[in-house]
Amino acid sequence: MEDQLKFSEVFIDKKSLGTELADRMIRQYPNYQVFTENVPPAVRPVHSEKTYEVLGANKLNEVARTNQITGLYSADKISQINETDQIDKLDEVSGITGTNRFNPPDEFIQRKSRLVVRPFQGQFFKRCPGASQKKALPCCNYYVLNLGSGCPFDCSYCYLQSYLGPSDTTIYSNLDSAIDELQEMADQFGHLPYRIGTGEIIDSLALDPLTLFSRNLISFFKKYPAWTLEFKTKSDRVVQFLDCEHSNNVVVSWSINPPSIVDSEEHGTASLSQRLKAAQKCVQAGFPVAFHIDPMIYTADWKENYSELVQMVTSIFSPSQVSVISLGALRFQPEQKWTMKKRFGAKSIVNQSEMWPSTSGKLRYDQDLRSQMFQFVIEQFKNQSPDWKIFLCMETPEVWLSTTGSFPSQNDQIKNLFRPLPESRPIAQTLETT
Amino acid sequence: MKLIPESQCDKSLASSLKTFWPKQVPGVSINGLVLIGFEQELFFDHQSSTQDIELAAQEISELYQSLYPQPTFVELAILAKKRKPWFPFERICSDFHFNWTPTEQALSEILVSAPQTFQNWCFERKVFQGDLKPLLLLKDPQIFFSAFSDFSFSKSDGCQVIELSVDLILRDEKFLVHLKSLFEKPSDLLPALRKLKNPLSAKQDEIWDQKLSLIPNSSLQKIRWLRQGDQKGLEIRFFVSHPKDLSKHRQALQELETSLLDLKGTPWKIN
Ligand code: SF4
Repeated sequence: MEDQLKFSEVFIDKKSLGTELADRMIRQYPNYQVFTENVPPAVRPVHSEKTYEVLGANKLNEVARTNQITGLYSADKISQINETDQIDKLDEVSGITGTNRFNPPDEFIQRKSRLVVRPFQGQFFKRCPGASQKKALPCCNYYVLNLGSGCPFDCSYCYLQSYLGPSDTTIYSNLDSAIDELQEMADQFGHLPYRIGTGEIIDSLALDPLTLFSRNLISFFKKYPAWTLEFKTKSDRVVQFLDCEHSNNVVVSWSINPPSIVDSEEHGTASLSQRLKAAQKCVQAGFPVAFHIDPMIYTADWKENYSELVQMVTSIFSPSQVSVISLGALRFQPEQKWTMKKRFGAKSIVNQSEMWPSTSGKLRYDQDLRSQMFQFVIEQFKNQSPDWKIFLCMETPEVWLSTTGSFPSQNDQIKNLFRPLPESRPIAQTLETT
Repeated sequence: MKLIPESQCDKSLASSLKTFWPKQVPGVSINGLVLIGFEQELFFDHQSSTQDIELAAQEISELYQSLYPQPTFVELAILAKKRKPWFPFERICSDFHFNWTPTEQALSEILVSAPQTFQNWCFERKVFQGDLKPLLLLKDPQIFFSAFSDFSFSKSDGCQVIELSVDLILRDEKFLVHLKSLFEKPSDLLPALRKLKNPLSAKQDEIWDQKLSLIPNSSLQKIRWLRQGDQKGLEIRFFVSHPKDLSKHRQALQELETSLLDLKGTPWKIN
């Protein structure tokens, strides 16, 4: 996590200059560049032909991940890598392209290491994708507020790989416009229980020590206690808002997975224990917390893995400290599988999965396997206490029924989440929550 | 256009693809470079009428489009590889709204060095570049081609063979060594590859195929264990020639329900 806030290049839109955010960026990154209109294009990675041919792009990316190197493939970086003996220690990434000169080094990593600050012209506020698939998936009335796009982390299964493609880590400098949009909605429906999250196309807190968006949002939501704000993250960056006064309606949530899955699939993120420690800090500061065990990933020893995870959570938290736990299983768009294979190789667990096309168009595990995995985790929690509030995220009614024996609207603990709410105006819909 | 003999032509764009051209009609060339009708002895040769590079490119592109209104990816791949430096390939791609990215370039390199049987399959089945993308993941695509000397599948089966084989090669190159022993007739190949790629699901399907074979056969209904996307279950088929037949089927369905519920475990869970 130490390199989390290091970027190879920082670009600030001229229109953003003068904002608090830009001032902070300038102090933090004195080598920033100002741009007008378009962000300067990423320079295609330079690499020594020989190194590249010998090692292959994916192997170099493995080196990069192992060594936490950003801004890869400049000739000098390559020679540095050559000098380390790390390469010898790397496992062979079997059968992966690399020697093919038309197959460039990992553009995703290169672009993630570029930070862009610019105003956003579109609509900040959107409905969660579950709403667009109401027929296929029960909708839990979730809204998203996008204050940036792209993510500095690099999870092998991340849907942004197909949704955004290789993209700069971008944060929007016009938070005031986002707040105006929220205000418009609040004026009409401030009394209704809307749930709004900021972690759809960017991790809510990975960059928050830089942006401090959390502080502004907490202060806005304080006026609307019926609303709930959710920060969703795989980082452990929370101290920047712990002193903020709130109306008990700011949920800080973590996507979590067993340590072995975090290590192999969630590159650059905080470890599970770091995430749980950060959650503890939030609880101590009076913030409700939530956990998303999502995406659950099948391995031969998945039961041991997820028992360990439940054990770690329940040994630290009581059901009253955790507002909700959601479960979801690995899923992605069919076209994403080749990007994943190319980038993370056959050894990545997600690339070994048996995935099938589902009614929503995404590839998923077999429906019965999903149901079995969910049931197992629910049982593990309920064995500790029946008070844990657990629901399924982005799942079909069939899986709800076979897993929990009821539809969400019939479940007393969570039915409020699924009660339909009015909309103030047509709200754009998004593809998927992270 | 003027008519020129074969001796004045360059046939370097010729390939094994069987592009249709009427026998009685001379082929067509541009500045002596034959574009179509490679078997012919006479050619209508188009000479650029302008010095303006842009206009000349437009002329050539229009001529190419009239000869190849819907070029397949393999035709473009061969053109990309064998064209002369003056040939406006980029212009042609852009006129077809075809984005020739480094990915297409990499795929075309693979395709032109693929065996002719494979090239012909791509041509005849109008295979898109997207269907071939898995091949980009292989360090050496020849490993794949060497395993399939005769590639004569339907388009859908062939694309699945590519995808599954690449997946399996990525896991273990040696799998190809045993490939021949996996199937007796070509139609067995795809099921064998699917089984290798998805061993967990294959095992479950096998178990339930066996269990279902224990159920007394109904003369009225045909039952089959079936996987549809991420779901699996039973397909039950029956034929009704008179509404009264439905009562017989209702009875048979009830018996089937009892037999299924009597089975140990349940087909609806992975145990
Ligand atoms: S899954 Fe979430 S945390 Fe991981 S890279 Fe994608 S957006 Fe970032």
